[in-house]
Amino acid sequence: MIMSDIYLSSLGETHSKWLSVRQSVIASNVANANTPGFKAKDVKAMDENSALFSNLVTTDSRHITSGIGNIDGVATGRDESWEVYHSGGNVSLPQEMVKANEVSGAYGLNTSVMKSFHRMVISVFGS
Amino acid sequence: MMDSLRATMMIAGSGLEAQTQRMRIISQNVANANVTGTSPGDDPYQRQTVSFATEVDRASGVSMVKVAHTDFDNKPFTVLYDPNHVAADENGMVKMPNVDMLLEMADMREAVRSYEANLQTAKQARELISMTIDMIRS
Repeated sequence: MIMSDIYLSSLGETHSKWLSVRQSVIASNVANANTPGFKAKDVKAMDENSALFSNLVTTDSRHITSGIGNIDGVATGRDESWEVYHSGGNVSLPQEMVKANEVSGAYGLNTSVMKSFHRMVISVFGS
Repeated sequence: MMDSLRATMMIAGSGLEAQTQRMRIISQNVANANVTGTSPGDDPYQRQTVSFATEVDRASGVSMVKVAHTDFDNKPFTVLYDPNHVAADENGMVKMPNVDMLLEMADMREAVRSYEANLQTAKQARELISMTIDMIRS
Protein backbone atom coordinates (compact mmCIF):
# COMPACT_ATOMS: atom_id res chain seq x y z
CA MET A 1 0.00 0.00 0.00
CA ILE A 2 1.21 3.47 -0.83
CA MET A 3 0.87 6.02 1.95
CA SER A 4 -0.12 8.84 -0.42
CA ASP A 5 -3.29 6.91 -1.31
CA ILE A 6 -4.54 7.65 2.18
CA TYR A 7 -6.46 10.89 2.26
CA LEU A 8 -4.79 12.36 5.36
CA SER A 9 -1.32 11.56 4.05
CA SER A 10 -1.87 13.24 0.71
CA LEU A 11 -3.50 16.20 2.44
CA GLY A 12 -0.48 16.55 4.70
CA GLU A 13 1.82 16.32 1.73
CA THR A 14 -0.07 19.02 -0.17
CA HIS A 15 -0.08 21.23 2.90
CA SER A 16 3.66 20.88 3.48
CA LYS A 17 4.28 21.62 -0.21
CA TRP A 18 2.08 24.70 -0.01
CA LEU A 19 3.88 25.89 3.11
CA SER A 20 7.34 25.44 1.59
CA VAL A 21 6.26 27.32 -1.54
CA ARG A 22 4.95 30.08 0.68
CA GLN A 23 8.26 30.16 2.54
CA SER A 24 10.15 30.57 -0.74
CA VAL A 25 7.82 33.38 -1.82
CA ILE A 26 8.45 35.09 1.53
CA ALA A 27 12.21 34.64 1.10
CA SER A 28 11.99 36.21 -2.35
CA ASN A 29 10.06 39.17 -0.89
CA VAL A 30 12.68 39.66 1.82
CA ALA A 31 15.58 39.39 -0.63
CA ASN A 32 13.96 41.99 -2.89
CA ALA A 33 12.87 44.27 -0.05
CA ASN A 34 15.24 47.02 -1.24
CA THR A 35 14.66 46.51 -4.96
CA PRO A 36 12.93 49.58 -6.40
CA GLY A 37 9.42 48.85 -7.60
CA PHE A 38 9.26 45.28 -6.28
CA LYS A 39 5.76 44.35 -5.17
CA ALA A 40 5.33 41.84 -2.36
CA LYS A 41 3.81 38.52 -3.39
CA ASP A 42 1.97 35.86 -1.49
CA VAL A 43 0.38 32.53 -2.34
CA LYS A 44 -3.36 32.08 -2.46
CA ALA A 45 -5.03 30.16 0.33
CA MET A 46 -4.54 26.41 -0.01
CA ASP A 47 -7.24 24.48 -1.79
CA GLU A 48 -6.78 20.73 -1.74
CA ASN A 49 -8.62 20.30 -5.01
CA SER A 50 -6.83 22.94 -7.01
CA ALA A 51 -3.76 21.98 -8.94
CA LEU A 52 -1.16 23.78 -6.88
CA PHE A 53 1.63 23.05 -9.28
CA SER A 54 0.56 23.74 -12.80
CA ASN A 55 2.57 21.73 -15.25
CA LEU A 56 3.22 24.06 -18.12
CA VAL A 57 4.79 22.46 -21.15
CA THR A 58 8.04 24.02 -22.27
CA THR A 59 9.34 23.62 -25.80
CA ASP A 60 12.88 24.66 -25.00
CA SER A 61 15.06 23.83 -22.05
CA ARG A 62 15.96 27.50 -21.69
CA HIS A 63 12.35 28.51 -21.15
CA ILE A 64 11.31 29.22 -17.63
CA THR A 65 9.94 25.96 -16.34
CA SER A 66 6.84 25.48 -14.30
CA GLY A 67 8.94 25.65 -11.20
CA ILE A 68 7.88 27.05 -7.91
CA GLY A 69 7.80 30.57 -9.28
CA ASN A 70 5.02 29.68 -11.67
CA ILE A 71 2.60 28.05 -9.31
CA ASP A 72 -0.98 28.87 -9.90
CA GLY A 73 -1.52 30.60 -6.64
CA VAL A 74 1.08 33.34 -6.60
CA ALA A 75 -0.62 36.70 -6.49
CA THR A 76 0.45 40.17 -5.57
CA GLY A 77 -1.13 41.42 -2.43
CA ARG A 78 -1.23 45.13 -3.22
CA ASP A 79 -3.88 46.03 -0.69
CA GLU A 80 -2.51 43.93 2.13
CA SER A 81 0.99 45.33 2.45
CA TRP A 82 1.73 47.30 5.57
CA GLU A 83 3.84 49.96 3.91
CA VAL A 84 4.71 51.45 0.53
CA TYR A 85 8.07 53.05 -0.18
CA HIS A 86 8.84 56.06 -2.28
CA SER A 87 10.79 53.86 -4.69
CA GLY A 88 7.62 51.93 -5.50
CA GLY A 89 8.36 48.78 -3.51
CA ASN A 90 5.96 47.65 -0.84
CA VAL A 91 7.74 44.86 1.04
CA SER A 92 7.34 45.27 4.78
CA LEU A 93 10.03 43.29 6.60
CA PRO A 94 8.04 42.96 9.86
CA GLN A 95 5.08 41.67 7.89
CA GLU A 96 7.26 39.12 6.09
CA MET A 97 8.70 37.99 9.43
CA VAL A 98 5.18 37.50 10.80
CA LYS A 99 4.25 35.47 7.72
CA ALA A 100 7.41 33.36 7.97
CA ASN A 101 6.59 32.67 11.59
CA GLU A 102 3.08 31.57 10.63
CA VAL A 103 4.57 29.20 8.06
CA SER A 104 7.02 27.79 10.59
CA GLY A 105 4.27 27.15 13.16
CA ALA A 106 1.93 25.57 10.63
CA TYR A 107 4.74 23.39 9.26
CA GLY A 108 5.56 22.16 12.76
CA LEU A 109 1.92 21.37 13.40
CA ASN A 110 1.65 19.59 10.05
CA THR A 111 4.70 17.41 10.64
CA SER A 112 3.47 16.49 14.15
CA VAL A 113 0.08 15.48 12.79
CA MET A 114 1.73 13.41 10.05
CA LYS A 115 4.01 11.79 12.60
CA SER A 116 1.23 10.79 14.97
CA PHE A 117 -0.91 9.61 12.08
CA HIS A 118 1.95 7.47 10.92
CA ARG A 119 2.26 6.03 14.43
CA MET A 120 -1.45 5.17 14.29
CA VAL A 121 -0.97 3.33 10.99
CA ILE A 122 2.01 1.46 12.41
CA SER A 123 0.05 0.46 15.52
CA VAL A 124 -2.77 -0.94 13.32
CA PHE A 125 -0.51 -3.05 11.19
CA GLY A 126 1.91 -3.95 13.94
CA SER A 127 5.47 -2.85 13.53
CA MET B 1 11.88 21.55 -10.66
CA MET B 2 13.74 22.35 -7.53
CA ASP B 3 12.70 21.77 -3.98
CA SER B 4 11.17 24.99 -2.64
CA LEU B 5 13.05 24.90 0.63
CA ARG B 6 16.36 24.56 -1.18
CA ALA B 7 15.29 27.43 -3.45
CA THR B 8 14.50 29.45 -0.33
CA MET B 9 18.09 29.00 0.80
CA MET B 10 19.31 30.20 -2.59
CA ILE B 11 17.08 33.28 -2.50
CA ALA B 12 18.22 34.15 1.02
CA GLY B 13 21.82 33.66 -0.11
CA SER B 14 21.35 36.04 -3.03
CA GLY B 15 19.88 38.59 -0.63
CA LEU B 16 22.85 38.24 1.74
CA GLU B 17 25.25 38.66 -1.16
CA ALA B 18 23.47 41.78 -2.44
CA GLN B 19 23.45 43.39 1.01
CA THR B 20 27.13 42.53 1.49
CA GLN B 21 28.02 44.34 -1.73
CA ARG B 22 25.96 47.27 -0.58
CA MET B 23 27.88 47.34 2.70
CA ARG B 24 31.13 47.25 0.76
CA ILE B 25 30.16 50.35 -1.24
CA ILE B 26 28.99 52.11 1.92
CA SER B 27 32.26 51.44 3.73
CA GLN B 28 34.13 52.60 0.64
CA ASN B 29 32.19 55.88 0.72
CA VAL B 30 32.79 56.36 4.45
CA ALA B 31 36.49 55.54 4.20
CA ASN B 32 36.95 58.03 1.35
CA ALA B 33 34.77 60.76 2.87
CA ASN B 34 37.71 63.16 3.12
CA VAL B 35 39.77 62.19 0.08
CA THR B 36 40.51 65.25 -2.04
CA GLY B 37 42.41 65.62 -5.30
CA THR B 38 46.20 65.94 -5.39
CA SER B 39 46.67 68.84 -7.82
CA PRO B 40 44.93 72.24 -7.95
CA GLY B 41 41.30 72.08 -9.11
CA ASP B 42 41.22 68.25 -9.02
CA ASP B 43 37.95 66.46 -8.40
CA PRO B 44 37.78 64.62 -5.08
CA TYR B 45 36.35 61.13 -4.42
CA GLN B 46 32.87 60.78 -5.91
CA ARG B 47 30.25 58.96 -3.88
CA GLN B 48 29.06 55.62 -5.30
CA THR B 49 25.60 54.11 -5.12
CA VAL B 50 24.27 50.58 -5.68
CA SER B 51 21.07 49.59 -7.47
CA PHE B 52 19.31 46.30 -6.87
CA ALA B 53 17.28 44.40 -9.43
CA THR B 54 15.17 41.27 -9.45
CA GLU B 55 16.70 38.30 -11.21
CA VAL B 56 14.63 35.26 -12.11
CA ASP B 57 16.54 32.04 -11.59
CA ARG B 58 15.79 29.89 -14.64
CA ALA B 59 16.35 26.56 -12.93
CA SER B 60 13.77 27.11 -10.21
CA GLY B 61 11.72 30.06 -11.49
CA VAL B 62 12.07 32.07 -8.28
CA SER B 63 12.88 35.76 -8.07
CA MET B 64 16.30 36.33 -6.59
CA VAL B 65 18.07 39.64 -6.13
CA LYS B 66 21.31 40.97 -7.57
CA VAL B 67 23.24 44.22 -7.65
CA ALA B 68 22.29 45.59 -11.07
CA HIS B 69 24.96 48.29 -11.25
CA THR B 70 26.97 50.70 -9.16
CA ASP B 71 26.79 54.34 -10.20
CA PHE B 72 28.44 57.59 -9.28
CA ASP B 73 26.40 60.08 -7.31
CA ASN B 74 26.15 63.31 -9.34
CA LYS B 75 25.41 65.48 -6.35
CA PRO B 76 27.68 68.58 -6.53
CA PHE B 77 30.84 68.53 -4.41
CA THR B 78 30.96 70.70 -1.33
CA VAL B 79 33.56 73.47 -1.58
CA LEU B 80 35.78 74.58 1.29
CA TYR B 81 38.01 77.65 1.54
CA ASP B 82 41.53 76.38 2.29
CA PRO B 83 44.17 78.27 0.27
CA ASN B 84 47.08 76.22 1.67
CA HIS B 85 45.62 72.91 0.54
CA VAL B 86 47.39 71.04 -2.26
CA ALA B 87 44.17 70.77 -4.27
CA ALA B 88 43.12 74.41 -3.83
CA ASP B 89 42.32 76.28 -7.05
CA GLU B 90 43.35 79.89 -7.81
CA ASN B 91 40.58 81.22 -5.53
CA GLY B 92 41.72 79.01 -2.63
CA MET B 93 38.69 76.72 -2.85
CA VAL B 94 39.04 72.95 -2.31
CA LYS B 95 36.44 70.49 -3.59
CA MET B 96 35.46 67.95 -0.92
CA PRO B 97 33.73 64.59 -1.62
CA ASN B 98 29.93 64.58 -1.86
CA VAL B 99 29.65 61.95 0.89
CA ASP B 100 27.03 62.65 3.52
CA MET B 101 27.89 60.70 6.67
CA LEU B 102 24.34 60.77 7.99
CA LEU B 103 23.06 59.32 4.72
CA GLU B 104 25.70 56.58 4.77
CA MET B 105 24.86 55.65 8.35
CA ALA B 106 21.14 55.47 7.54
CA ASP B 107 21.92 53.36 4.47
CA MET B 108 24.11 51.08 6.56
CA ARG B 109 21.37 50.54 9.13
CA GLU B 110 18.99 49.55 6.35
CA ALA B 111 21.56 47.17 4.87
CA VAL B 112 22.09 45.52 8.28
CA ARG B 113 18.36 45.19 8.83
CA SER B 114 17.84 43.60 5.43
CA TYR B 115 20.81 41.28 6.01
CA GLU B 116 19.31 40.11 9.29
CA ALA B 117 15.95 39.54 7.64
CA ASN B 118 17.55 37.39 4.93
CA LEU B 119 19.46 35.46 7.55
CA GLN B 120 16.23 34.88 9.43
CA THR B 121 14.48 33.39 6.39
CA ALA B 122 17.47 31.10 5.79
CA LYS B 123 17.36 29.95 9.43
CA GLN B 124 13.64 29.32 9.20
CA ALA B 125 14.04 27.31 6.00
CA ARG B 126 16.66 25.19 7.74
CA GLU B 127 14.25 24.68 10.61
CA LEU B 128 11.55 23.48 8.19
CA ILE B 129 14.00 21.05 6.56
CA SER B 130 14.99 19.60 9.92
CA MET B 131 11.32 19.29 10.90
CA THR B 132 10.78 17.26 7.73
CA ILE B 133 13.74 15.03 8.50
CA ASP B 134 12.48 14.58 12.06
CA MET B 135 9.37 12.92 10.64
CA ILE B 136 11.30 9.81 9.81
CA ARG B 137 13.09 9.79 13.15
CA SER B 138 10.87 9.54 16.24
